[in-house]
Amino acid sequence: MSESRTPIVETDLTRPFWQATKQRRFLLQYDPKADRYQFYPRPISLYSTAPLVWREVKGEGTLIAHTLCHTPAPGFAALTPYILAIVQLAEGPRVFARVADAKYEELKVGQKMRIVWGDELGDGREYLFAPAN
Amino acid sequence: MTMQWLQDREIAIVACADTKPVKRSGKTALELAGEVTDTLLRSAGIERDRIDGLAATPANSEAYNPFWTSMLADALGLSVGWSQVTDIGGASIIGNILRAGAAVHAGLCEMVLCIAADAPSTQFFAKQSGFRAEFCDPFGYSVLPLSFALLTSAYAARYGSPDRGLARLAVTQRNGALLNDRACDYLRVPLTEEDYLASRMISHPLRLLDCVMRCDGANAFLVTSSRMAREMGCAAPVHPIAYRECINFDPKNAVDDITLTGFTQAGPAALRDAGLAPADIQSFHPYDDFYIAILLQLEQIGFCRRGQASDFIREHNVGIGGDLPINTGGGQISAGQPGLANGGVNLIEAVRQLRGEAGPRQLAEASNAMVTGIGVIQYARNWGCSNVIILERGA
Amino acid sequence: MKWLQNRGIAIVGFADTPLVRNSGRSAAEIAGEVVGKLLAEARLERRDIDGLAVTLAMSEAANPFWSNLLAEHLGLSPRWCQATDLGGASNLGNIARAAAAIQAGMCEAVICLGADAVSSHDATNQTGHRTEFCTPVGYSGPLVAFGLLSTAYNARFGNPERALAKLAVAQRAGAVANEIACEVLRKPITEQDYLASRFVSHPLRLLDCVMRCDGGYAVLVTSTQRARELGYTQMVHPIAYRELVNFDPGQTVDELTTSGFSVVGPEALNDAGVRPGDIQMLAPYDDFLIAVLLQLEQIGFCRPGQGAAFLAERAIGFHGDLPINTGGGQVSAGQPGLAGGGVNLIEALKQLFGKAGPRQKPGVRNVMATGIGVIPYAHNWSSSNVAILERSA
Repeated sequence: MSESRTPIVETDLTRPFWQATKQRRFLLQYDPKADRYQFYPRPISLYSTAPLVWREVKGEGTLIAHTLCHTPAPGFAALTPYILAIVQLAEGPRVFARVADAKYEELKVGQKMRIVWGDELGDGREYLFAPAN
Repeated sequence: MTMQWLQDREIAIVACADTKPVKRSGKTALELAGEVTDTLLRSAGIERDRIDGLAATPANSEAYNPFWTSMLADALGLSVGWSQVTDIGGASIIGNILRAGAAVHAGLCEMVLCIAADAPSTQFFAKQSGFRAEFCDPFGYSVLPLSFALLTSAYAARYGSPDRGLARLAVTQRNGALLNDRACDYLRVPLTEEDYLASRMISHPLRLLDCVMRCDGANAFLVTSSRMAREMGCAAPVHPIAYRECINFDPKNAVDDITLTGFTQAGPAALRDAGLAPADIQSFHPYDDFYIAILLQLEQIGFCRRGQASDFIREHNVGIGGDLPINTGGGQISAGQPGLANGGVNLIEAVRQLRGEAGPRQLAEASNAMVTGIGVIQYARNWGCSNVIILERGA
Repeated sequence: MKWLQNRGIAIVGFADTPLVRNSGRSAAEIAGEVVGKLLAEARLERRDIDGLAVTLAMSEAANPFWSNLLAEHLGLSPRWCQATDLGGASNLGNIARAAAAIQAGMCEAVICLGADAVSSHDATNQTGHRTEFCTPVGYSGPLVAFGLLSTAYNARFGNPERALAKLAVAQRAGAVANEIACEVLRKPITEQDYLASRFVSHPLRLLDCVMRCDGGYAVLVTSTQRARELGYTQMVHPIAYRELVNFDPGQTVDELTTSGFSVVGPEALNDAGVRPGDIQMLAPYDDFLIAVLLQLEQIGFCRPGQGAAFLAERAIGFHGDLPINTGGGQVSAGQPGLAGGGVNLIEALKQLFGKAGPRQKPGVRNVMATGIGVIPYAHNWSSSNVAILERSA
């Protein structure tokens, strides 16, 4: 029995983000008034009532937490166990994603990570983390 | 049992906002909630950090999510000391105004965002369970109009057909919608009594033009203490001065007449609390999913005697400028029902009237208003929830 | 909330069902059982009940009118009715909401009700960021979130696994002595069993986690004045309550392990005019054992990073000097879905009413109970709440 992955259902709000992932670009919402970024995309700025704009970021950050998951989400059985992590990007927001190219035991909270792109969603738009070095 | 703090004008609604209801927005409830919160914060001129309470209603479009208020707080960036969802259908929004007031009164929080957003055209996940799934749907219960058709037939058998009163209401509310640019554009076309009477039967004796149309939308209200309202320099506070609620009226089927509802209790009790007679009410904003519901409310709250509502409507002027204006903005039936953000449509119209912000619909006398809510159909009888709030313009 | 400190609110009765895995029952059926028991126990008629506060049920999640359906099903006709959707924080939250509604004059006697049959049927589907930005990239449930919290904690303070093992054993001993605990969980375990249990989301082990089951409970809340009029002599007062929903939305706190308890814990103690050392028993929300450790530190029972040492030093069993989750907690008794926060609350009430049988701590006068609810995006949990309950003199 192979369950398929939970499909990503884009909304008007998040469409620019998902469109950009197709070109392997990672966008954050930016509040120019507060000079703050946020992720996931929200309907309003967390920091002011200013309109939000999209900004591309490099996707570099710091490992905040990681876990080796033995109980897969739908569609992830073949990858199990797999590593999931929270990374705080240099711009501030924390992002949750799977980790590629690393062993769980070798990862250390505080180490530098970067976003890399995977092809498992079919069109190359799955964002993952990998150690930066 | 008293809620003296209401009569003491301790609580104030200091701001309100809505999105224009549309039939197919293509948006999610979260996006609509974001828009309306944004508008509310701007119009109130306060920082988000001041909000420390959150009262929401469920959304048909998000019904599988049992953590909806937390999702809203996360998406809107609110951190609060009290939050809740009120799940009494169309009675939830005025219910939330009161729950927010009670939480402020009890010291749980000071500034509450009462918010409702739903996008049933984008996705619809609500699925009723229990007796509905087991003892109604399998036996041919299809849509809500069916329940109100049954009520109408019971009413007509007792008092005669109220068609002519309903026709007058339909035209009156539509006239309000024509003057209301916040009403759903789809509904803003003129209507005559003949149009109403000729509209097709949906569930005999209920006609198409008796029924509310579902759409997407959101509304929001900011509730705080009157002391805080003064400190904020709020120019037009609106005080809830009485409120009563009745859930699951007649649980034991002790009442013979299925047209009777909790309004027989909540209506007179709210008027008594406020120290007002029905004739003192300057505008009436009854919950309207179907026009027959307004007739029942007029009678059961005490504006007229049982069986007299149709005559009452024809003998009085219930339009703008009349002696008892009803649903001046079009009501839900002519402005649109934004899913489970429903009860907010008539409430926001009442608040706008009291704040003097009703534009071409502005009533000359608008120092008080009565707003009601109706929620959820019980098994083989009337609706389950009835609530009444009386609002007063602050000094 | 001075009216809480004035002992103006009283809990005068409670009821629960055994916790059962895959009972095959519906949440409404479970609700009927507990409300029937409660009314009989409290010697009240249905017409005496004019308030109803419920938790949502995962098994009925798509029903947007759940509290009404329960009122209809149970034959209640309240003047105030609501659902609280703060996940595991909803149960304590309802006690406070009932109290506030009574204080505000909306009603006089409230049933706080939780019933869920999630192990028989799960109808939930979390929306928003969860379906768009979590599950598609591999999030499989709360154990991922608590696995992440655990690594963040370990990186800073070292791995507290020996203390968690002690806690696991102590809670399990409570479940063995608790006849409502899930039968499958009522087997003694050793610290070695805990340490040897398999990793589910490293460093989280199977025996760190709750198991879903079916069950329910009901609590009767009224004013102290009304309780006396009705002739109740035994009552429990909530003397302090604090809640925080969506802690740190602007992500200003660097430390992922910090939660709203760092705010509401000290506030509740301060409101009650007591220090941590005055608390005689703890009923902390336990979806995962690490959550208990974080609460001990953030509420102020010990300093940050000292949770393991604190647990090692104290006797935390039901006959100890600071008993924790004497009935097994959710981890060893089972989590009946969104009625889960009621498990530890009911155990606290049993202790305060002197009805905890073989687990009874003699003379216990106060208990601190807590709730945790909902995982937001890449944060700690969203909702934290704390209540301090006191037996009437």
